[in-house]
Amino acid sequence: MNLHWKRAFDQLLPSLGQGIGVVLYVTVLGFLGALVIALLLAIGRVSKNKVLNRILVLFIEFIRGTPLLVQFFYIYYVVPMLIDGLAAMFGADTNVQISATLSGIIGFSINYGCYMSEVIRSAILAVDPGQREAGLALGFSETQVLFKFIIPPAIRNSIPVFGNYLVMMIKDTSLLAMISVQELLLRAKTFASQTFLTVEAYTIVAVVYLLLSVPLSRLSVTLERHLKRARMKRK
Amino acid sequence: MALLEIKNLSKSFGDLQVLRDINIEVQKGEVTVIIGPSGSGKSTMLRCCNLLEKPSGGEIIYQGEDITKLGKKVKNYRKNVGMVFQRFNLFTMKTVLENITIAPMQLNKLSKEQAEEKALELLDKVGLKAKANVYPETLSGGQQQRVAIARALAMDPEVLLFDEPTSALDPELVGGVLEVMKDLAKEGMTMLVVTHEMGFARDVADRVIFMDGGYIVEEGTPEEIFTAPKNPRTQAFLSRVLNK
Repeated sequence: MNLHWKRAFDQLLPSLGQGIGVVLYVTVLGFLGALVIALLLAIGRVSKNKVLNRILVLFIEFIRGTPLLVQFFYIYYVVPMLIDGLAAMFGADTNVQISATLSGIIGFSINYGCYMSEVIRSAILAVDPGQREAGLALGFSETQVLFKFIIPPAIRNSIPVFGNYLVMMIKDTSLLAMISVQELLLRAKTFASQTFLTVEAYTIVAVVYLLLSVPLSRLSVTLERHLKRARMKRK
Repeated sequence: MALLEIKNLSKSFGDLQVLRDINIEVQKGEVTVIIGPSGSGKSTMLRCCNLLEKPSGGEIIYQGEDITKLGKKVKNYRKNVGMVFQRFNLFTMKTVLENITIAPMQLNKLSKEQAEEKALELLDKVGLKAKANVYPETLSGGQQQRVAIARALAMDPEVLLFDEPTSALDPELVGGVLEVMKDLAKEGMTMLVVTHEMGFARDVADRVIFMDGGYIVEEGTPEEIFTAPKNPRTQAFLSRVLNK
């Protein structure tokens, strides 16, 4: 087997550099979107409104019960058609398109938002009920208590788990190759099919993922230890 | 007229009735101490006074209004009624100073400067001015409880409710908290105190209420309750706790 590492490096790496940009762009926006959706879902889930609760449970189960890749396809291909169809019913002629990258960001926001909402929800439930009672006793409303005294510690306690989700999301961006986002895997695949440097191309791309995710997961472990120690010290 | 009047108060958790036919009149400037064995309903009774527990029946009259019927407006009533908890319940993510200033700033529209000035005065009063900028978790239980008292006082309450304020403290820290409470009583603060500190009840209370099994069994001056209790259950309880 003849391996041409140097040629592969020289030709593939610049392209992968651009791919990293795409990966980081999608991950950062997708993660921020996921945080917002997670918080909204979690607040809805801890509210006393039973109907809302039931609807949200169904929604979360639906998202968690279908593969992320299917959701990307659905947002990219199906949702624009649904919107066009809906517009046609009102007599409007539209041709909605959602770019592949935007589909990725939306998909990550919704999918990860559902998983992370469960993290925030259990963190909210784990906050000492005394915090709520103290807030109420001073004259704050239930809503004020939730936002001022319960959500902040719940978010702080969720941070280490969020770190894991961030690392998972970076790796899951590879799924976006299937809807033609020019991220790392698609670039490697194109390169491999053009040059037949298959072993080199996929090995390099695997290492690049590793170089992206390992420092991040180390960081989240450090952060977790730091938070734990800060708590211990305070006690 | 009584400042706070509890009439025929009852409370059940499911089938379990924990309070039956409670009647208490709290006069302005008076210290009322509630004693009784664990499970007698005294904490539940206190928590009903600011609706942290919803009474199952009866009325709680404050300024001529039945607060059990206030609905959402109960938060305005709660501003006038401070509460000190057994486990302090300071806001963990806020400094000592922020714990005290947040309610006056956000609910009474005090400016930051006014609220902080007042908070520092109150901290001085409870002997913790030096701790203004630390987080509650760095403090001992006794210190946390004194901060909690300062936090309640910052709202200028008409009444202070104390729910076993020294029960979660190491014995050597109890004294400091009781001192602060005695000072408050001397200043004429209206207080409703659930406690196991019989010494405090005897020295500070204007009126002592003995509760058992969800009833008020006996009430009277400290003199009457501690030297000549009439009810056999009061006698039994006191002989148990005083001869330990």
